[in-house]
Amino acid sequence: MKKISEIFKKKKKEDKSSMLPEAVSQTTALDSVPKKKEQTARLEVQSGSKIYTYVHGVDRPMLIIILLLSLFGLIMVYSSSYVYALTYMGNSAHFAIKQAKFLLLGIAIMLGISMFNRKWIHLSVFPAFALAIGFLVAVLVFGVTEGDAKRWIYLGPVSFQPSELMKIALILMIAWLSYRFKNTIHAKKKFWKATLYGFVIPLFIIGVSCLLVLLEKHLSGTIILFLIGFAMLWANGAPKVWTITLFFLIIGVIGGVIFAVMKFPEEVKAAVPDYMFTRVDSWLNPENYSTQNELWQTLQGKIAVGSGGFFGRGFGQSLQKHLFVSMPQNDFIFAIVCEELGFIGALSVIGLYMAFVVRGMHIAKNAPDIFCSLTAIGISAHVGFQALLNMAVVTGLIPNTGISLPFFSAGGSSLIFLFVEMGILLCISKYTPVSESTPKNVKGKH
Amino acid sequence: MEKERLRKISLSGNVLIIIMLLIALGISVKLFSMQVNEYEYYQNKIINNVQQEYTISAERGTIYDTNMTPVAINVTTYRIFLDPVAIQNGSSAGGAEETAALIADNLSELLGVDRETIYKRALRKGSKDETVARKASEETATAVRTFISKYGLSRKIYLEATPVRYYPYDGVAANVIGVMGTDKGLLGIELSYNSYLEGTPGRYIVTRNAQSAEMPDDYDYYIDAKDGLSAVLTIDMNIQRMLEKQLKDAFTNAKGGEPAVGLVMNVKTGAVLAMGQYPSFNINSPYSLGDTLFADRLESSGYESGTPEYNEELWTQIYSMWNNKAVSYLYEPGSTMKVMSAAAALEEGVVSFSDTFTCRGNLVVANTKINCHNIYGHGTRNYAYMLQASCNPTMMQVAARVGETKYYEYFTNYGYTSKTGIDLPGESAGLYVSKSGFNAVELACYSFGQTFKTTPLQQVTAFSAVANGGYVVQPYIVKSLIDSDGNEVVTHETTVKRRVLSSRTCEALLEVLEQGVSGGGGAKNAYVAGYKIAAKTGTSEKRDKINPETGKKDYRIGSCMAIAPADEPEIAVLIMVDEPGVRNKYGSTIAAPYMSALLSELLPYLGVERNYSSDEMNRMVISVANYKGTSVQNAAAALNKLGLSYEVVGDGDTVTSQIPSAGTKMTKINGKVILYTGGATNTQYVTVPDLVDQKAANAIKQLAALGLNVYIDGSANYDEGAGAEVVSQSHEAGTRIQRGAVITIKCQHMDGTD
Repeated sequence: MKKISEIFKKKKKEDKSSMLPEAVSQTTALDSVPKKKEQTARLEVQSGSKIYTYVHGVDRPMLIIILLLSLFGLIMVYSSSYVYALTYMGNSAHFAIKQAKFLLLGIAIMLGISMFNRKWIHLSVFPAFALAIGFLVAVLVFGVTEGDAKRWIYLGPVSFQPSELMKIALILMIAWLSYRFKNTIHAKKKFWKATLYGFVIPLFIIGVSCLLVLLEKHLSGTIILFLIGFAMLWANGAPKVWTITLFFLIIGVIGGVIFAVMKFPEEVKAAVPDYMFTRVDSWLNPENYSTQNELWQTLQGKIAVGSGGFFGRGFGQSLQKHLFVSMPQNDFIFAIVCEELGFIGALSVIGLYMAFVVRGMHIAKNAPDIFCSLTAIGISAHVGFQALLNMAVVTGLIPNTGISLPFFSAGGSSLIFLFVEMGILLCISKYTPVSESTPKNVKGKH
Repeated sequence: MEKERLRKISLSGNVLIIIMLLIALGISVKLFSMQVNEYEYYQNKIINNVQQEYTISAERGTIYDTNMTPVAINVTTYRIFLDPVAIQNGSSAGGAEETAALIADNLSELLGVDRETIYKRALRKGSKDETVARKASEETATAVRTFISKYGLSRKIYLEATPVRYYPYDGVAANVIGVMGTDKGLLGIELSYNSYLEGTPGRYIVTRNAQSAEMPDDYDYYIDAKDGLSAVLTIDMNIQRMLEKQLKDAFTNAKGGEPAVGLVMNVKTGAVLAMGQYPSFNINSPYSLGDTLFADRLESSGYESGTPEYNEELWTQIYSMWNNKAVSYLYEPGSTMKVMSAAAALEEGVVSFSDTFTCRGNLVVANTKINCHNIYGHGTRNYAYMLQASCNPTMMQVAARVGETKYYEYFTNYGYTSKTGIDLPGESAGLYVSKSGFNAVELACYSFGQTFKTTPLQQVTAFSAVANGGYVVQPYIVKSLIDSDGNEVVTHETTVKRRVLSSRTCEALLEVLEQGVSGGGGAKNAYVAGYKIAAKTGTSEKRDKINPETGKKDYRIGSCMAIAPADEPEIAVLIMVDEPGVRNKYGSTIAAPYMSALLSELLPYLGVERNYSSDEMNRMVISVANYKGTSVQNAAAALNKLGLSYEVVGDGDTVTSQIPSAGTKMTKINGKVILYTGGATNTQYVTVPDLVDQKAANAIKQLAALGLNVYIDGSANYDEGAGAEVVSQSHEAGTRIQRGAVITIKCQHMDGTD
């Protein structure tokens, strides 16, 4: 703690000395942090309201993208859930209001977190991971079963999925590990050591997290966790040969699973849990499943997508949301987007996510240190992959695994966790060196 | 160092971006293929999903006759059915029987259905729909509704409205109007105009969500049904009835073996005023053979009811009963064809009516001996006589003058080689030899209407050309199609196909034919006093059908064709009696009298004024006036004026009674009214002689000699020597009757010529 606060002071001191990030390159460990002082400069040059100061501190393009996604998502939650809410809740705005409340809370949390100093993010790594593991174990013991899965934990009035917390915890943990052992990992001559610290240990942690989530029968959570971990392993500087090997291994396993399900359905069915087999098999052999059951949602989602056409049916005009796509405000909200706003609308949503990813990587690129950089990469990968997987499910490219669409799918706790991530991302973005587009007043002070 | 590491990390991050962009591209491509390429597919899917379509049935157009009298309309009938499950469940233990009894008691009374049947159905286990009555009327339905509401049986008894076609005229013009199947016409106008009559059903599309609840009505749409057009026929149901009445008489009296056919056509326009056959069927129960010859045939087939053979035979008979013979029946026209042959010859100028011909009872044409119906020969007479007398050898000789090529040209132009194109289904084309096969023998036979076949309609169409100045018109039966507001949407206009004859030919021919009717020609039975009628009878052999009873080809078709009025033709009429079962099978005897009867009713209906010749005036039928109370002088004067003679009995000045009594109908010929005065009464009685089979003229004379008055039934002319014979008399021979009374005799020409 001391060290960190000292560094922070030091950073403040050095704020005026250099505008250039190169100046920090010689320092090690947290020493590098204060050298990126331009952000603090921006923080300090601003006077007046804290929010104003804050807004100028974080990466505004990213903030705008996040707010656009949130607003777009909220509108679509309202539109898609209209009939469902009216039918089952008696209030067409039921989900929209709930979403709006959580969104406001989430944005507040996001802004709050983004105002923290990044040292607090460092400090939260272990507590977050410990908490996540704890909850995941707890959920297996005390969790409430919903359908096949045991995912939710209830703490008084609050309920959440520990897997959501695990996503953040894993991102932070892998980033921290890569940061902590960066010298080993990046050492060119210590291949096996780099492999151990940069790949094997993180992979073990990823494996443990994934296993815990998988035990909840939460396949989509597992996949997302793994993808986040994989993306970070790819980027953390460890020898790429392992990640590439792992990649092909996974491709092989997926291919093998598909092959096995297609060729030996009976044996596979006996070997794996029913819900997994059903998801893959219903994707491969839709004709075996009545439209009323497993395939109903996927089929209705595809109908919604296809019938949107190029320009869409028009906002609020979805027909499929009339209980054909059940709970259209959840995992299949993108289908309603496609139906109402058409190919154009769908492209713009994809575009927003891609902008998010690109901007996230920009933040990662300009992050003050490896920890922040990898955290930004992890968060970008999380949002990017989860969004793409969701869309792939909706368009029928991959089996339905129950992946929600970040910012769009209606949710409570998951939304809060997402905005915690956004807060971390924005917090990191504060340390981005001032670019050409930096407001004049900042430069003017120098 | 750190910068280098961060750069490495961000490069790896860029690879991640590229991967994600590639995935995004893949998803976009998939989206494009779904949303743009396969849009239609998914759009259809979604329509299947959300839309429930209801058909709003369009009202079928009405069929009117030419006077806008509806002949085919739509009425709503009801199917009444029970829900035994509801009867069982909705009643307390043991109450089901009670409810069933209540229902059975009341419905059997209201519906006229056996009580036991209803009771059993009401208690049928597990059924939810037990029909107890079909085609119940609106009144019945109302009564049932009242019963339902009175006892609260609304979930136990149901009514289902079904629109059905109803034909107010039952069996009149049945073959023309046609038959309705479940959703389209099967016959007649109902079939040929089905597409116009049926209209376009509307659609009511309700969008429903996955739970079948109606979605907001923004998505609903309603396309109103477009009611069918109504068809206005050229058929006049009054004329149709007149025709069918005569067809019935003709068929019955001639003991026809096949339905008799009749056709009345407007010669100028081609409009069919009546087209019928007897026996026919009731359109309101088109599948019932009734007690017609078709039913007899089915019975005589010997198949047991219910067997496949029986059903097949049943359908065969139903179809032949439905068959509209006027357009689809092919027959050899026989001597009526001579009119057309004569017209061709006259038009070609190869013969005149004053030319003389010799008939020896047969003629050898190209080594083939062809007989005349008068095997003793007609002797040597002029052409006009020969035509009236229907002499075959004369016709053959005249046709030979026309020549095969020319004759065939006329034959074609008259329309015998093509369908008339009438707007009725099932029209047959004729049967005839090709032009190359048309040799001298064919020519000879064609000239008097044998060895080729034509439809009654073709024959009338050709005949009309003689009446209208030589034009072959296209016959039609629907004069207009009107929408529900009465606007004419389609109007039929007369189509003249071609001109075949000149007016001169037509006029000359009609005059000769008319003389034949009013004089001593073969068609004299078609005579109607006061009208000029050109007619020709014909008797043809059915050369392709062997009579199983005699083993001979002795089936005949007797027909009569007429044009009236002959001097200003309006209509052409055909009456055809198929396979007469009586001994005298000549058209002049089995068809022409009914032509006369038909025309005597039809021509006044058409507003054609009677124009009596002085002869006819003398023979006119009058209704005897009341002379009681008038002075003898005045009565005598009045009777004189009427051209009746009188006889005064008694010596009073005032008439106290009279014979025949006031209002009695009698024919003026030899008419005498006996006036009694001063209380004198009739004391003189005479014995009625046997007049049947006597020549009409002779019978009239006898009656006059006895001091009896006569009423001649029908309008057959009965000139001395004309050959009319009495076929029946009102009072039996030997009856004593007051002198002066009226004896009714029915006359007919029995000198069977063709």
